[in-house]
Amino acid sequence: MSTWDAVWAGLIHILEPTAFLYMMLGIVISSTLVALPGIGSKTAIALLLPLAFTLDKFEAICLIVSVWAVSNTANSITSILFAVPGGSGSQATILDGYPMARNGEASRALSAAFSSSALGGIFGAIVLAISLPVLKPLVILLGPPEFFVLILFGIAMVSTLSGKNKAKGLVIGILGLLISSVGIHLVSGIPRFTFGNLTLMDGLNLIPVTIGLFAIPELISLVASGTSISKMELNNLDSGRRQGIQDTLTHWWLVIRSSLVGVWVGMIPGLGSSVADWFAYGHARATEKGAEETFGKGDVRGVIAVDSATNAKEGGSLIPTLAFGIPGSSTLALVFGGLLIVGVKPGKEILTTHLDVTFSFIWLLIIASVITSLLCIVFIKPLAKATQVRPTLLVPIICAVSVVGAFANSNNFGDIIVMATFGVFGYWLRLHGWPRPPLLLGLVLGPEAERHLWTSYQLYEWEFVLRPITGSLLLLLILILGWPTLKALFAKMQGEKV
Amino acid sequence: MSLSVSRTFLGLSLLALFTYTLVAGLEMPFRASMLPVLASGLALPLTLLAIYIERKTDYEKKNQADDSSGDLAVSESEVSTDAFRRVRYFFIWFACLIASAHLLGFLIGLPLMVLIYLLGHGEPPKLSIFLSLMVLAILYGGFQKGLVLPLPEGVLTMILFGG
Repeated sequence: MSTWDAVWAGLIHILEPTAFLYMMLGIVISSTLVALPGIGSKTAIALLLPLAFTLDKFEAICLIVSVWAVSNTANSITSILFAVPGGSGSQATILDGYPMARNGEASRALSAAFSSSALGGIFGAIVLAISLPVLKPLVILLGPPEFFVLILFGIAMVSTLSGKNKAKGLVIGILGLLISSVGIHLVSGIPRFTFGNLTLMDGLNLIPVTIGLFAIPELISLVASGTSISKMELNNLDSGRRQGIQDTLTHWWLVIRSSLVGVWVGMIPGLGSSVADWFAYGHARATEKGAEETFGKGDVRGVIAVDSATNAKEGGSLIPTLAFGIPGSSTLALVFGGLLIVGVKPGKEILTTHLDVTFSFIWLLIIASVITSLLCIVFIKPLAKATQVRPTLLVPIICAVSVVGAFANSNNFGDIIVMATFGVFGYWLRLHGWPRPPLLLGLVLGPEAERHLWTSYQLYEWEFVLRPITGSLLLLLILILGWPTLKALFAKMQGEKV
Repeated sequence: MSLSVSRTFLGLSLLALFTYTLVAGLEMPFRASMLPVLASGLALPLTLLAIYIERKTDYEKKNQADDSSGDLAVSESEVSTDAFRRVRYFFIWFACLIASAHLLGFLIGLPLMVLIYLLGHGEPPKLSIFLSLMVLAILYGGFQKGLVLPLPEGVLTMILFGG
């Protein structure tokens, strides 16, 4: 089968009426479930797997892949409207999306998020299609030392969110790394920082910590201010919708760059979906004009960057999954678990004799992203009006759902205590201007960082930092962190010369 | 506790935490201690640096989150005396919410606390009851039946009515 035949066959497979219907079912179920805090795409896929087993191969592909592919679009809804992340890929959306909602621009923020999400999805799929032949050497080039430094890079990128006091961001990022080490150390069996507590033995889960760090402090903020999320009149919802789409098109270069960041992060196995949004946000903040002053206060570019990247990374994460059978994320591992059962095997076969299956994936990424974004844009009006609801009505209901969301993660009551503890801690951090996002990134990347650090040490001892790519990345990292100081120093020196 | 005392307390708490993790890490076997020791060793001087930079900047003049954190901004209305009073009541209610979920179970405790919050904030009784029933419907229909999530019964209800 030639490549063009495979492209065509891949499209035909998913446009078959029943397959298309299952794709639509996947889109609706995924969009509904991921909007609930604590219920991510993994839960949705896990719920649908028993149904997928009874379906034809392409029907099952349509159902499972569409659930996974569109999960990042809908989970921006609660992030923007209530500062409650719908999933791990929508945390950074809060930083500018929520302030926009508070400024009466919920419609514009949602519209920008959905449209950039669609474009990011298309971009990720295109990059996946054109990069299939050149992938292998790139991924093989990276070893444990490079992965370890890339993780440090991720945390440093997010620490740039801390504005003038970057040390605060780094401290909180490191605190996240330390929190990730709570629990029984898997290799040595040593309990670390558990104080004999059974909940802590298993380590701290991302979902309760996320709900605690972000949702609870925002609810407290609503209680404290005593006003609705949006203190202002909602601007014309139709024009907000148009404005959001226009914003995305105006900032097309940001969409492309953020999508590239998403694809790049997605294709590195292990870095996973929780990181792409922060990388893209950090990149946009560092490169966009005037971002230092406006990001975090409701700048639409912050929303566009994050949502482009989170959807584009899905294409990127398929790259190592399809090429080497290494799932780019834990959700993809679940997707492939399901696909293996219906007879789809990643690796050489899917890139040669069954290339049409690969292109079905790519078409699904494109079509499902566009349909989901259109559906979400259609329902912007009722969503935006939710920001005008009185806090006395919202707070208790969101609190109750958050408690269940934290519990749903692992059916453990201890997770609710974890959520409450991080809620208080998050409120304290917020009150005193310590950034919360790096903590989450440290928590997500901690286990991977520790694994790569140990492997690097075993292979090269501490000399691993001198390897060419590792050393260069470290140097770049130091330059990025020290650049403002260096710039000020150069300016001072030049001033003295004059 | 005033804001500046609370701010100092936060910085000192972080310092104490990192000192503890460093000392505890040093007592662990090398493989288990590698990340905690490395991370704590880095965090201690960075925390001191962060506190120094924070002290250097005039607290009164800056809006913390706007200027320094890159996080969501804290508005003036959130740090007034009235606001802190409301927050204190919220903390008490939130603690009761968790306690009632534990004692009465999710299906009774959570809607009940939602009802108490709504009535306590002067919402009309009919609306309060409707919203509490809606929460019950989400929990029972959405989570327990739809997602097959076994929501736990309360400790107290189990003692009184059996598990």
